[in-house]
Amino acid sequence: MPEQRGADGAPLPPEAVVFRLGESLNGKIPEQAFRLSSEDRKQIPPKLSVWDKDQTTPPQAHELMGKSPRYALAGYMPVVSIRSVVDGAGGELPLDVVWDHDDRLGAGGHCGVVGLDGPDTKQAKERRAQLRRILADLANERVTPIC
Amino acid sequence: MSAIGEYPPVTSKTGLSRPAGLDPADDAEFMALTATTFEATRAERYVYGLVDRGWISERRADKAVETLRGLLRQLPGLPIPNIAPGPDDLIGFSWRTRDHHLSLELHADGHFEAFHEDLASRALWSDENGCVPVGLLDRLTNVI
Repeated sequence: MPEQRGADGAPLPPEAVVFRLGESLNGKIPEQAFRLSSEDRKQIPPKLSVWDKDQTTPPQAHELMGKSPRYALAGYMPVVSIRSVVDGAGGELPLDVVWDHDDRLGAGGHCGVVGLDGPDTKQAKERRAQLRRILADLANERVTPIC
Repeated sequence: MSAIGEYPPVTSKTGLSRPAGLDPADDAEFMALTATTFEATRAERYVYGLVDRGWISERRADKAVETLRGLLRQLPGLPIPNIAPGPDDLIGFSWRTRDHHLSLELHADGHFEAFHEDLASRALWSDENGCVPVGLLDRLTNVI
């Protein structure tokens, strides 16, 4: 596949579509799939791993993540939709999707959603919970099983 | 009616016996109970399957099942939530209606975090505690 990715940390083009791997009882991408792990939070800036669908397939992404934990689902999200997420007050949230270079074979589509971290105040946590719910709803508009 | 989560012995081809005290003629109630018990069993199997698949620890799974059984005992008729693993040995339950989204997350350090979003007004509520926050029980009773 031809090299299409931008510079490390550069934003993805608006027409790009990314997917997030997830898992839940009812076969949907859950909001927990959009929680940053303690390792994600150590990155500068903190990033949630997603994959450009034109560069990496869900089975490739699953393989690259070591198959443990074993994901069952991939939920697709247009980058332009992630960038247009607004909070409960109608205010824009500073979400973006940027390239996060990974040079392993098949990992050309690795990127990250930034803007999901923040202070641990009650209000900020509630806002992030809402954000995770919104992103999960977006991802559930197109979900496929990982074969 | 037996408490949900306390399963009757397997005595029939369906794998479930008719609970003691339930009128055999009342098939609708029996079928509803059977369906709920089936869903609860499916949920518990799913939780322990997450251990096998490397998502959560057995300790977290035990706590999740204990919590789910407790919720179903306290709130009869509560639908089985969607259940999902998160990072760092976290597991979450969520309930969704047209107008409300509620979740309860069990963290690795043992604390519980509950959220409620009114999807119409987009009003938010949350609480954290060492046990299931009482405010969540009230909200589950009132909106689910």
